[in-house]
Amino acid sequence: MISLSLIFIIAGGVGFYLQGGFNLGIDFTAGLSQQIRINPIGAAAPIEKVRQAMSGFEGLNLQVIGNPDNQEFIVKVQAPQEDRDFQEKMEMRIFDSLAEEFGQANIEIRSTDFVGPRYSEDLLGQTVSITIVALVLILLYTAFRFHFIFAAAAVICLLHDVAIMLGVLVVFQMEVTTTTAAAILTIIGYSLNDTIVIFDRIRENRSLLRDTDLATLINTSITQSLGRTILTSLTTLMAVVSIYIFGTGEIRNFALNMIIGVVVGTYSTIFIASSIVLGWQRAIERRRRAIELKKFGRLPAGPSAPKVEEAKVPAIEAPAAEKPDSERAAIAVTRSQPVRKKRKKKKR
Amino acid sequence: MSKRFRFVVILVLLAVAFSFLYPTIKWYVLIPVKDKELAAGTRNQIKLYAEREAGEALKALLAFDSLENLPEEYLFLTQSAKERFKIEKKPVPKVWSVEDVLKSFAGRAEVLVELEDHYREEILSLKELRSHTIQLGLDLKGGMRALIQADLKTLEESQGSSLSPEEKEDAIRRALEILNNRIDQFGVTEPQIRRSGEDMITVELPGEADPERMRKFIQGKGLLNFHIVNEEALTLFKGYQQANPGAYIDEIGKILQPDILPKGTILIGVYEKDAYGIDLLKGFTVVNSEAGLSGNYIRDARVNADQITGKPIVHFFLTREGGDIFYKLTSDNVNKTMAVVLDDKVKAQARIAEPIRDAVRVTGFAREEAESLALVLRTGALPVPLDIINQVAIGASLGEDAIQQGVKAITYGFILVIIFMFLYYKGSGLIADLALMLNLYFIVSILSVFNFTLTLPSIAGVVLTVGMAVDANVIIFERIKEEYRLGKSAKAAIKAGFAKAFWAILDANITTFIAALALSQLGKGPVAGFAVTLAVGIVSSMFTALFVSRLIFDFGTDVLGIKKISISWRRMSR
Repeated sequence: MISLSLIFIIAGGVGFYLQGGFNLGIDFTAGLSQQIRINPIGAAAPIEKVRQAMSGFEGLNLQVIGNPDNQEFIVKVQAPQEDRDFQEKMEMRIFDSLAEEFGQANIEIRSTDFVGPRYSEDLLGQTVSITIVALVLILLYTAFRFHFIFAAAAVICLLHDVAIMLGVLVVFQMEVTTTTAAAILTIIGYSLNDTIVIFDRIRENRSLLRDTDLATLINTSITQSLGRTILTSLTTLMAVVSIYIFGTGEIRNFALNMIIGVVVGTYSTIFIASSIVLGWQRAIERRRRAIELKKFGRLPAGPSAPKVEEAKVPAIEAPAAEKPDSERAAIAVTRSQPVRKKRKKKKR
Repeated sequence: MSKRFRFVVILVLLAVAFSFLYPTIKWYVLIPVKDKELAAGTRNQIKLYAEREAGEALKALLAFDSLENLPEEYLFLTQSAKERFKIEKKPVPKVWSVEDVLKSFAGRAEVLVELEDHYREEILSLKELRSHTIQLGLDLKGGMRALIQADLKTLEESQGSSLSPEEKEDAIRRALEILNNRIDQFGVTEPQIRRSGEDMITVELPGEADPERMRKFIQGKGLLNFHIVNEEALTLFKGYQQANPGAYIDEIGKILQPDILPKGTILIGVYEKDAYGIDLLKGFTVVNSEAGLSGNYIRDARVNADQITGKPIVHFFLTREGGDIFYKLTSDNVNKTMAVVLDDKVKAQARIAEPIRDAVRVTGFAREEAESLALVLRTGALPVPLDIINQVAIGASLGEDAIQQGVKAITYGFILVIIFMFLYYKGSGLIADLALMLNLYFIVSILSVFNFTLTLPSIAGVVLTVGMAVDANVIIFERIKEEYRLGKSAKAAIKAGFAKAFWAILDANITTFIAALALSQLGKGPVAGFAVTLAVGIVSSMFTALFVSRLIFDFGTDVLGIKKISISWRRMSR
């Protein structure tokens, strides 16, 4: 499954290279802003009609100025600043499409300006750096509540989700606006929530199913939470799909981003997060064995051998009093105690 | 916690949320459009309105038959009339006639003042109300658009040399950045600020076209200065003033005979705000024309309320260099008066009791003025003066039908979740649905207090947050089902379900909350706005899922004595 994710992420990277970057919406690009008046006054040119006449423009922004009866409008369309030619063509296109509806003589262009982007691209850069700060904080908290490996897995999982979302955006050249940023934030929250709930189940099962190995433990926990994972995804999907079907313009875009995010988020919760924990744990195990092999020339014999995997599992719930074998005690981190106490209180 | 106590907690929170929400309801439902437009006007316009209304009201009152009962729209006058009657120990009439009311005032002028106070407060309180409501963004409602020009000529003059194209470019780029910061800090969400042409900036703000709002953003910084009052020159000026009563200054406040004042001093007006918040000239003072300390040395400014009088106090914090200058200035001028000058108006004067180094407390500012000053000082100086060239109201950027369709889509999505929860979880689903609605109610009320600006995507975001909050309920219900299947009683299953779900919900939500909080504190504009919504949604969804749902379940099992939980669409095998 991890290889599937890797393929997606690499595809995103290749897409970024081939497509020459994201398709930035009008929030992030320069544009042409025209103040237009439609004569004569009282010619029944409401904004709906103007909007219709200009419906061929992508990312169009059209607003009434002052009293609607004056029939004055502001039109904003995307136009990269460097391209002088393109701008002139754009002006012509605006004029033509309006002239077709209202007659050439009635279109009065009152001013034409080239406006810069609403947000400079460093908003994107800034968002990335803040997200990194947020991820570090998340890492600290989850490491505190669970175990460092779980925390790292949760954060890698988030990065994975965002990377795939960005990949889809770039490959299909979907418009990136400020709502895209909002969608990504929502997905970060969603996916994190999803992952932590499963980790919580693993943590709980650790104490209940003490003799199983980590793979079985993870499997059991995912299966037990599966109903909840699917239901939550389903309800969220219902909401976003309905927004996608019935909505238009920017919120439709938002909904599409969200659909992708929910699917990726759910997929990563079930298949990626725990796989990372398992893989990491096994890697540690292998290294330990290799070191021991080097040291003693053979694997340590005895009853501890078959239980090796389980013993290395981050044992939050491991009761310290119960015959701690040395390895388990090493990971049964100190703060496991207060957590357990609190929960016992709850149960009573 | 007993059930009754928990119930009371919920009721109290519902009431608090309603008080948060009330200004928004009032603003959008109860207040006529005409009044809203007035509230968006300048203070001078409000003054004109209140004076005119008061005049007309008085005329109308005098035209009434004096024995007629006081018409309802003037009932507000009885309040102050009653007090006057009591002071004079006259019996207070049960039904007020026009004459009764008028009689209680000493004369027409006094009635007029009372009337004007009423009409003024009516509009000014609306202005205040507006700042506690949910605003609609540029896409839904439109707002105002201003064209702002960078005054490069003045910059060149003050520098004494012409600017290279790179320098001009840099000045405008920095002005744009500072403008962005300021508007952001003033809490206006979703503005559109774009560079336009060579030396222009267009700013679009959601909300009413209130010209004062825009002016706040482009205020300069070097305009705040601390000057030492020159007592000798002031005495000279007072003598001159007494010798030439009524003819010592011209219309723009310049002294008619400048040679009266010693070299290096200037005459400057002392102003106070009137009830409308308009600066009124109260007198004059003479200060050393060279500022003792310029505002450029101010590092930060904070506004607090005086504990006794409640009047705003501004604390200015100086840079290290500024502190040194100020210490020297204040130690050289102990027992002299210092004037705080903003935009060439004396706002406050104080006697220097002892040398001050790095923090200055100043009273004498109006609250709003103090806050905007503090913000301007905090966001840094504009590299070039900005002028507003023109300002117009603009309509919504989304078409009417696009808005309707969008709102419809969002509503469908929400309803779908609600129906699904009921179909899947039956009775318990209804509890989740109730929790969901309460959640929406809490979120909207908190956004209302924050004076949040809603755009169509942010509405979608709020509803999605609420929809995803159903997750907490799903976790609990799945756990309850598991316990129930094990053969536990309804009460025990509920108890165990909530207990086991508790940590999962808490950990998952706290983690997300951390992310949201980080993004809302550090982010800018749309990112921060969205993160706030997310954070608010998390807190409110945890409360509704863990507290409200639990109480309803407990009520069901303990009070109604329900033995079977209705929690699944199919029969539960036990």
